[in-house]
This record gives sequence, C-alpha cells and structure tokens, in this order.
Amino acid sequence: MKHDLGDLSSRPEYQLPDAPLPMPTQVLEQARRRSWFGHLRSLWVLLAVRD
Amino acid sequence: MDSAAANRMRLLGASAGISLLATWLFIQFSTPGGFNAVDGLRVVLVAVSAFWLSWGALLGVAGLFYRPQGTGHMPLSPPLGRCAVVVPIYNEDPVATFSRIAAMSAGLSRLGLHKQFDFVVLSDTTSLDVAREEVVWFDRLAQEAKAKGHFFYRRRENNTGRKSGNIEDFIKRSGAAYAYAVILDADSLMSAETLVLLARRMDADPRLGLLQTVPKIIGARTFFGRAIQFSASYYSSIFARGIALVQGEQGPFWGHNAIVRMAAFAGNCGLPRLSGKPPFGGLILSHDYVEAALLARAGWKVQVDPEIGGSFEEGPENIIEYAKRDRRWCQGNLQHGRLLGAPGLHWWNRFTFLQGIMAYLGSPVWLGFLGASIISEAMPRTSYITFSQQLASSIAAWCLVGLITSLLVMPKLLIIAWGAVTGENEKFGGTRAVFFSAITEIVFSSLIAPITLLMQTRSVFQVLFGIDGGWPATSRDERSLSLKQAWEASSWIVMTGALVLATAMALAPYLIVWLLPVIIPMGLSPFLIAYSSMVSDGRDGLLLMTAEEYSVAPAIDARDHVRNTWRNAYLEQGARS
Repeated sequence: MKHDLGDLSSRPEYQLPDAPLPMPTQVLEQARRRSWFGHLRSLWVLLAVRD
Repeated sequence: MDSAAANRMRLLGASAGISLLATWLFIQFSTPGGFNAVDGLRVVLVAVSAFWLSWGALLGVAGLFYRPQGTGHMPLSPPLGRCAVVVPIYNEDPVATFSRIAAMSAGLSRLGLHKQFDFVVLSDTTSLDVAREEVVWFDRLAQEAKAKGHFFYRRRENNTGRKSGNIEDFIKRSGAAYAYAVILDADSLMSAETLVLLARRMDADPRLGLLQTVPKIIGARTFFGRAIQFSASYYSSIFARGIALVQGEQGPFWGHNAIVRMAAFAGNCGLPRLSGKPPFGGLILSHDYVEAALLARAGWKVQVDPEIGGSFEEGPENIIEYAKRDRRWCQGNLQHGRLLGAPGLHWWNRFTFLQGIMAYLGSPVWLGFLGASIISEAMPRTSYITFSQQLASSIAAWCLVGLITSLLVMPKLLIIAWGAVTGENEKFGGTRAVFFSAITEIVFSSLIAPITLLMQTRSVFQVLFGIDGGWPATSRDERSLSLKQAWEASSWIVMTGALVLATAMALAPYLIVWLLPVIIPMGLSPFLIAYSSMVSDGRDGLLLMTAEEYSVAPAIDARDHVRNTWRNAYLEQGARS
C-alpha cells in the first residue's frame, strides 16, 4: 500500500514543545586509582633520582 | 530502624538461615566416604543457590501477609501537573502501538481529563518502510482523537543511547513543559483511570520521584505465552507485595508502566557511558535499575505499588523470543557489576544490582553444581561406609531435595490456598481451575527449566567473554515456530544433553536417574520449543485463564476495537488499490 507521505516535521501541531530542560550526566565511576604497579614504578623513579 | 529496614533484615536473615540449613544437609549427604575439593566447591554452589532461591521464595510468602497501606483510590480530578505519556518505539508495528495510544486517549477524553495529558511518540525506527507507516497511522491517530492538539511525534535518524538516549533527547528538548512523564513501552497499555491516579499520586507526595505499577501480561496466544501470562497475572501481585514490603524509599523501576517526576528525573538520571568497551563498558543497557538508584541517591522516593491496577503489557510468545529478550537483560544486569561500587548509592540499590546479577549467574552455578556432582562421583572414596552413615546420608539427601522443592513450589501453593480463602481465585475461574492451571504451569516450567538454564548460561559466558549482544529488535508479533526453526535454535542443547548423558554413563552411572529430569528436556528441546509456540486459546479447557480474560478491561476492549477498525480499513484500501 503506497502513501503520499507528508513529512511530519512539516506539521507544526505534531512538533514537540520547545521547552528545554538540562539533563546533566551523572557520575557513576570512581576517579581512577593508581594500581599497585603504578606505586612501585613511582618508588623506583624516586629511588633512581635519589641515586 | 524503620519498618522497611527491619523487614529487609528479617528476610535476609531468614534466607541466610535456609541457605545454612541447605548447606548443612548437603555436607551431611556428601561427607560419608570422604570429602574432597570438588565437594568443597559443591558446598559453596549449594550455599549460593539456596540463598537466592530462598530470597525469591520468601518474597512471595511475605507478600501474602502484607498489603501496602494508604495507597487507595483518589478522586479522579485533573492532576495539578501536566503529564507526558511517553512511548519510545523502535521498528514496531504502528497499528498495534498507535491503537493502544488511541484507546488511552479515548479513555481520558471520556473522563474529561485529556487536557492535562500529552501523548509523545519518540521513534528510533531505522526501517524506512516502517517509518512511512508510522507517519500514516500517527496522522490517523491524531485526526481521529477527540483530544486534538495533544499528540506529538519525533523521529531520530540516529538512535544515540538507544531507549535511554531517546528519552533523554525528549527531556532535553521539551522536558520543562511537563511536571511528570508516564514512560511506556510500545506494547504497554494503561487505563485512563490509572494514568490519572499516577499523576494524582505524584501531586500528593512532593518527594515521590518515581512510582512503578505492576503490569499484567495480556494478549498471549501460544501455550508458552499463556503460561507466562498466567504466572505473571496470578503470582506477580503477591511477589510485588513482598518487594513493596522491603523497598523502603529505594523501590524498583522496570523501565515502563511507571510515572516519573520530570525535574527529578532530568536532574539525576543523565546516564554516562561507562569506561571501556561493551559488554561491560559503553552504554548502560539496563538503564532502569540505574535510574532508580540515581533517584534514590538524590533523596527521591522510588516505589512500586502492587495495588494499582489497569496496567498492561505483552510478553514473548515463544522460547526463542524470550531468550532474545533475556540475552539483552543478562548483559544489562551483568554490566551492573561495574556499578556495585558506584559512589553514593544506597546499599539497598547495590543489593538490587547484585540480585539482578545473581538471577543470571544462578544458571551457571546450577550447571556447575551438576558438573561437579558428576566429577565428584567419579573420584575415589573411602571404600567402607557404615550402614548408619549411608542412612544418614540418604536422609540428608531427601531432606535437601524436599527443601529445594518446597522453595520452588510452596510459595505458589500457598498463594493458591490464600486465593481460595480470600476469594481471589474466583477472578481466575475458581480454585479448581486455578489449581489445574498452576500445576500445568509448574510442570511446563520444570520441563523448560533445563533449556532456559543452558540458554542463560550461554548468555553469561558470551557476556563474560566480551561478546556484545546489543539490543535486537523484539519481534512482538512473531508467534509459532516450525520444528526446523526450533531445531536450528536448540540443536546445541540436544547435543549438550547427549554429552551430559554420555559423561554420566562413563563416570557416574548411578547419578543418571537424578539427571534424567534435566537430560530428557534437553533431548526434547526442539519439540518443546516448537509445540509450546503453537497458538492455544485455552478457553475450551479453561486452562491458564487469567482475571484479565474473564473480565476484560475497557482499555483492552477499546484497543481491540481501534486496531480491528484500522486493520480492516487498511485491507479494504489495499484491495481497492
């Protein structure tokens, strides 16, 4: 069945109301913590610098 | 400690107690003859399984003794806040979807309360043919409705964020125009009275961020669909009362057939993309549980009310459609493992995430137990076991079987007995009809349990190995499956059953009798899948009839009338052209 399709975007009565509402993105992940390897590496660099 | 907190502790404590009992019985059963590492693993698996099985069963039993107070009917007056009834759609049948909207709109017009409600269709449809049909039928819907000017349609070319992104896009464009939004699925239907009641409940409680109804499944035609429909219709209210007993202010959100406070939802439910790749990173698939947790985190009340009727949805009509939906939910729930440590969440919401995760990990746990049992039987034991040890072991085994069976079946039998005492069974055709329907459903669900067990286990391993299942479009109207289709979907289950049988014969032949309830359904899975997908009215034998079929809600009648009128007009026009 074929229709002569008018685009609904040309029908203002069907357009969503223009009433924006902010929707901020929430935080669900903790800030990245250093792994034990990262700590070891920092210690190594510190010791190397001291030497 | 408030009552919800106390109830939580009671039910968790009781579940832990039953789990300990089951674990002790299993140790009594398995200790004679020696106790090895595999037995140790089996003990852990029994403890974990028994806890979650008990938790589910106790929610049902607790629900029998609890009825939420102060939730009764409110006068059907215009709500204070303007309400958007939001219908996100994705390649659905427009006639089916829009006829539901037409029925809801007609109901509101009949009540004279349509001015406070707008129907908003948010299309993410990717098929151009379906999109064209949406345009035609939406136009017809809006032209025929008495509530002129209350219908809006938006289609996105890019479905960023899928359903949650679809709703977020709407909120960012138009959310400030509404106080509340009733979020529906394409197959959702609500009575006008319920729509008004939800909005009035939001008016009455300024701290209420989300109110969830318990939708009843309607419209099932196949045997599988009708079994699910009966189970949901008959048992879900009682289990939902159990959930309401322990929800406090951190109740559930199931993604549809619920009302949200727009400002609260907008301010607190913007979902991030998780770091890393799918299936554990990226878009949050099961967004509803997360949105509920975020609302609770911000101090809003989130609650389910099992006493609100007039809320309906449709369910899968065959095991394959059920498995596709389940695959999506499996990935979504396992992804919640990333959020167990999310900052600021209430511990009850973390427990709810864990509950959802275990609903899926439970299957591999059971399968692991079966596998470990076969291996354990094959391992060397102490050669001499006394008669009294053997007797004690047998008694413990039978007690354990009795305990597990009771957890599975007793809540349902208690609900039937409760229905006989309170008269609730009359809505379902009387206690005799309910009893036979319940037995039929229990037997059928026991037969297909090994099939769903394997399908869920496969889903879990697919997710754990990083295979993204995504979000396949639901074929809401696909019903019957041929034996060929069923074989293609389940040949691996048949082979798994054969492998289990062969392994048991080789390693532990005396276990085969215990494994037959699992092996036989696996072997028959193509037949079970195909024949349960055949259309079955059930009315002749009054089997699996629901209250909604005995007493059809006006909204359902109205939906049927519109849908049939539109389909007949479509066929006539097609015949003329």
